[in-house]
Amino acid sequence: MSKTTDNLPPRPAADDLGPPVSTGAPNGSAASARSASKVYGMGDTEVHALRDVDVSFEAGRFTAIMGPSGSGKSTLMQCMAGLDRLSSGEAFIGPQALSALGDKALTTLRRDKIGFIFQAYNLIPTLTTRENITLPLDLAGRKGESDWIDEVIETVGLSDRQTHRPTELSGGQQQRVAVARALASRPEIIFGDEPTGNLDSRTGAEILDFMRRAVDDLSQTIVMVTHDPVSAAYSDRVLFLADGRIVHELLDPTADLVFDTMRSLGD
Amino acid sequence: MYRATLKSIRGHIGRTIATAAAVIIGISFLAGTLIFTDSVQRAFDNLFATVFETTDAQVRSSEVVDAGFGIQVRSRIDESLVDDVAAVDGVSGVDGFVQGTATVVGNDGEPIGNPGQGPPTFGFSWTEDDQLSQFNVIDGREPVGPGEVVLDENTATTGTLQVGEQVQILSSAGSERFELVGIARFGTSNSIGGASSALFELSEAQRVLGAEGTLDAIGVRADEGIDEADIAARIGEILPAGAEVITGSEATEEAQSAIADGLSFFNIFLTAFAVIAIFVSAFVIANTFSILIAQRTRELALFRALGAARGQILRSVILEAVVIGVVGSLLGVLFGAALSYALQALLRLAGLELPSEGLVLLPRTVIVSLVIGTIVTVGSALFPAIRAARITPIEALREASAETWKRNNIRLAIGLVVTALGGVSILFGLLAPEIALAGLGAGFMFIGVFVLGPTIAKPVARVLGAPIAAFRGTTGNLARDNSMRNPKRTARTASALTIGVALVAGVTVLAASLKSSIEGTVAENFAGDVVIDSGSFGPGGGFSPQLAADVEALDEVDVATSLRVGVGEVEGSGDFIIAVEPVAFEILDVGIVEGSPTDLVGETIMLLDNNAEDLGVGIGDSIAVQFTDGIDRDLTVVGIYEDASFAGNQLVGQDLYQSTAAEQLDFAAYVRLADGVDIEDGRAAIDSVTAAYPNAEVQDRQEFIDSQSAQLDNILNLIFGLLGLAIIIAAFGIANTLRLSTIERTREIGLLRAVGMTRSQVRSTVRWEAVITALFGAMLGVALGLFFGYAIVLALRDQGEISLTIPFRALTTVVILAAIVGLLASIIPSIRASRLNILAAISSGQ
Repeated sequence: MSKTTDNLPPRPAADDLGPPVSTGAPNGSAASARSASKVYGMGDTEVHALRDVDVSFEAGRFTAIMGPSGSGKSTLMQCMAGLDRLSSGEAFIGPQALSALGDKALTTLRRDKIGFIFQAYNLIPTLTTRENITLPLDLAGRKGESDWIDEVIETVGLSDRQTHRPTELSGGQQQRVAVARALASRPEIIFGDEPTGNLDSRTGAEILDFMRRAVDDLSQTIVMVTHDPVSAAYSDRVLFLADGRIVHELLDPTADLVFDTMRSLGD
Repeated sequence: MYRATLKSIRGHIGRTIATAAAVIIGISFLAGTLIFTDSVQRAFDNLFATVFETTDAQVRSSEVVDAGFGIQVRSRIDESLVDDVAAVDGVSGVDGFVQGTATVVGNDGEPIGNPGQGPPTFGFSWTEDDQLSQFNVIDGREPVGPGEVVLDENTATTGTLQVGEQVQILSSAGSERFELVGIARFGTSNSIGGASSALFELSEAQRVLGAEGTLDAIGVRADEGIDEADIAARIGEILPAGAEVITGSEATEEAQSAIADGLSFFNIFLTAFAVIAIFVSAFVIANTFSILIAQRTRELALFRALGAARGQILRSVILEAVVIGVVGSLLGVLFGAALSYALQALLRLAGLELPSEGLVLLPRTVIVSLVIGTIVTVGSALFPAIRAARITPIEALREASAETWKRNNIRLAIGLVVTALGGVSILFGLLAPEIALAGLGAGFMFIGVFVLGPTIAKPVARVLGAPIAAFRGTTGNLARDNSMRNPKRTARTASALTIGVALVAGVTVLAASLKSSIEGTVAENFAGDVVIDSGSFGPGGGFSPQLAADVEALDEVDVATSLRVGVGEVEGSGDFIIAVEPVAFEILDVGIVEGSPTDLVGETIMLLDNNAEDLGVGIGDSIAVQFTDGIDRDLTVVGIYEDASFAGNQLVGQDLYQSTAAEQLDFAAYVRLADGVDIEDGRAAIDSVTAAYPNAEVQDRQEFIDSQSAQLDNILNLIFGLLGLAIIIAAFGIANTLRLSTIERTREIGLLRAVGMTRSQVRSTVRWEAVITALFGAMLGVALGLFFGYAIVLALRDQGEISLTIPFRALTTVVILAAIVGLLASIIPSIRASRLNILAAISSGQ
């Protein structure tokens, strides 16, 4: 595990895989960005959500992205996850440069290589728990390994809720389904956007535990946007964004440490 | 509040237009019908006003026979009256005039016009008096002697006939050739409303049209200074019984109102479809408003929370409906004008050139369209508006805002009762027969099924969606779930299609039943080998009796006999009368119950059993019959038969009919070949005779049977074309609902896209949902249609042999077409759904 800081120099690495454009992706990172910039609007109303950000998320680690509203943390996550496109620079999932992909290829990439946990409205109301969990696999027309699916469902404690619809589940259960879905397709990386933002702290802690275990036990890679120091403390590494730039990084954080850092940055 | 309403309309302009589309289509059809008939009427009015401008009075027979179906035949007067009228003081010019049927054959050997299926083919005498003449020669000269003819410009153009050429003309006198000496216009028009006109010198016309010694009318011009009422009165004094005089303006009015009558039938026919279209539109509008209100629950609740009164909410929704109704109706009138123009162009392409003086848009058209369009829109929005007014402020705070539906037994009961009531009204209405009651019953059934729809939509959608879910995987599964999640919406959306499909299916079932019974009866009752058909039925069509006589004379032929149709008044009521030779009964079986056909000679008649029963007469009784010669005859009943398929309501002998001086044209001739003559040789021999009659088609048994049922196809195609309109409106309804549903599911679609649903998968999901909805509507429609068809067949059974035939293939086609309609309707909504910005979709509040 490298202990690089925020301004790691992007090194083009001759990569193992790949007909697709792969220059610029650092070796061994599950996802990375190079000179990533995002500008909304034009002229007077121009807003720089990201300014020339270089970042790398190593495989098998749990990273938290923090920052005040408008700091660009959600934009960074969305661009990294292929939900939005950068204005300039490049984002990579593994060796794959996202700007090279059309809508269809990008969608397929999200489906096969990325898991998502959103703050709310994670589930399709007409589908059962199990159908929601296997949705990305079903969309791909893949069978998936049902042993693995069972294991995931078991892990999140929803074995007796498999045929329930989302409206019959509590908020915490719904988020657990979302976590299970993110894990089901064994993606290269999972992005969470305030995954516990709508939950009470006890239920939230439960979800974060699942995520932590996914990293520790299953070697998943997780990147999570949050504004809560306690949530951030579950991660291995916390990146602080302000004004579209990465301004600080903490390794092996505690809630207090995160809190203090936030305060010092805020002043 | 009102400003908010208008803002809402403006803010959702696309949605507003989509809602208005249903109003626009329905109203445009109504307005188009009115504009078209007004325009044609105006043009004809002006035409006749010009034509009769110089005619001060007209003398004619006072005997008219009305056969119903708008067919009136007036008797002729003796030609000697011309001199009497000319001798009246104050008359400066007179001109005798005859009229009949003469079909012109074009240079391609095809007859121009078929009176059985289109405008008439007229034969006229040429009016020598320039000022009385309704035709003006534009090329060549007028006809002055035997063997000469002048044609109207349209017919000459259609047949590529030029002055100086020989022209073949078919009439009751046979098939003859004339020299085309001139081409003329009728007033300023190139034809009489698309009818063909062949003009002969008077005595030639009398010969060709079978009017020797008689005239149809005498045109009169008065001396300067004598007004038309005056001259008419003077002529009236010298006229014998059976003749009458009318003034030039009366003649104009009569001609104008005859056109108006003809158009009014057309008008009623088209209006019926406009009503269907508007009925369907109402369903679409009601559904759209329901969904809109459901989606705006929170917005409206917020208004309520901020202090808007219930009345204000109600008025606001109604105001929105009024705006959509008014705008939609006005656009409908605009499109109606375009539609009417297109219809004229279409008729012109079909060779039916109507006099045209531009489109006539009467204030009445605008008012009727506006009133109906607005009332229907507001009426349809009323229930949703009331529901909107019931929204409580607290609903602004609730999470789920989308329409919810729970199974409701009261609703189920009401639906069943209304449907049953409708079904019973239809049966009673048809058997009575009381068509209005049957129509009302159909309306009730639609409403009942509309009420029942939500209850059955879910299970039916589950079944219909099963194969789609199985074959299309996740997208199919999602499509099925979406169609089941809000059964009320699915059912309502499908209801518009249900109506269209029910009508199409009903007509299809009826047609199939009619066809199979026609085929059955014809096959059973015709014992001959060959039929010569004119493709025409009714006065003014057919071929000369000479044809059957010539065929009979062939060595290859054993029997050749013809059927002729005329009109007459039987015991005071007008009807068609078919004239036969007694020999006809050897090859045509009419199911004689009583009497002997060989007695059908002279002043005798045979009656259909039902008809005899209605008249209360039997064998040996005599009944009063008046043919178009105006003579009252007492005919003795010599036979009763039970099958009307060849014979109609009554039969007379051709010898009697010939003596009535009516035009003698056979609509068909039936042939039995001599023993040992094979069909090929027989046909070849007959063909050699019919070659001179291009309007005669020779058919063997099977061809004849097929052509009998094929006659229905033309009418069917027209009806299907018009019902297609209802289905187009239904398609708009489906598109509208899908559009609104996908907007409602924006976040869901965003999520699906985020976790890896491709654009084409999104489109596929929307598409299959549309297909399931359309299939649901279509199946329900087919079920209703089967019932309608069954009810009508049941009602008809009384009047002849008909049994229910279910055309499985045709009905399957209807269902498949409906699915395709759903597919087409989903194109735009599915593209919109697939292009949703994922981020905006995920983060879209609510």
